[in-house]
Amino acid sequence: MADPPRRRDTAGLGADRASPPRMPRWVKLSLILAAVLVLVVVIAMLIAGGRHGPSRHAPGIQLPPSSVTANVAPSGGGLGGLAPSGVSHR
Amino acid sequence: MTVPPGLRKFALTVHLTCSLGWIGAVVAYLALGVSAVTSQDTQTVRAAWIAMELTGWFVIVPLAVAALLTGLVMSLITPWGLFRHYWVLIALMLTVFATAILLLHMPTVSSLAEVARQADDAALQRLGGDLVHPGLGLVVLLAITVLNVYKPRGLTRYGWRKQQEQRRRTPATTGGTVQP
Repeated sequence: MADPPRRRDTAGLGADRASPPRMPRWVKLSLILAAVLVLVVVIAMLIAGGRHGPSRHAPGIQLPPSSVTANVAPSGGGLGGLAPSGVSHR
Repeated sequence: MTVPPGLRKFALTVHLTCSLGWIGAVVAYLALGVSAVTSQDTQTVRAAWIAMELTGWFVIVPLAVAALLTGLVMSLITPWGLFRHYWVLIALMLTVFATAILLLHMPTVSSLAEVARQADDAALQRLGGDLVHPGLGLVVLLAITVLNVYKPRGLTRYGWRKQQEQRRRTPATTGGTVQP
């Protein structure tokens, strides 16, 4: 970022024109790509039932609850919350 | 804002160190995540999750915040500005996005690390790892790096307006650089 912009960097896209420059094609393509990626992530989350977080994406891994610490709280009986039913639900 | 070249170089050094350090730390985190997913050894899984939590909070988060802040500083002390060029703007948005996701994600990592500390062997085997977030984060960080290296052309409307104002103020200036 320290290299200052050269004249060529800006003049080619409308810096010398009377009207504002149009959005470059690479920006439009990037925005489209970003929109598609966001859509894919949203659809993936919807398919997964809205679940999200570590271990939910790894194949073959049982999904822990979103508030995992609740299962290991003293009131939960120490490691009792980590019983199979506590880890594999949802 | 005009600063001495030496100070600008120093700021750039700090910014590059933080940004590339962030990438390196995410790669290390990813390695731990893969280990947590693939290892059959419960001690390795437990150690991986504890290391992921420590790496996340004490390396990745500080580097991310530092990279964001030093990037803002760089935009202020160089002619690039913050909103004048699309590549700077997009790099800023991606950095803010990655930092926000990181900060939102780390409490969950802490929760799972706490589980890993106390879990028995059977529970540890089901704990799994953390691959998607660091994987996508790495892609975003590499995209930011590419933007910073290639600096693709493109003035925003704001940048164009500022440039027009500057040219009206200093019409005789024909130097190779464009000062804001």
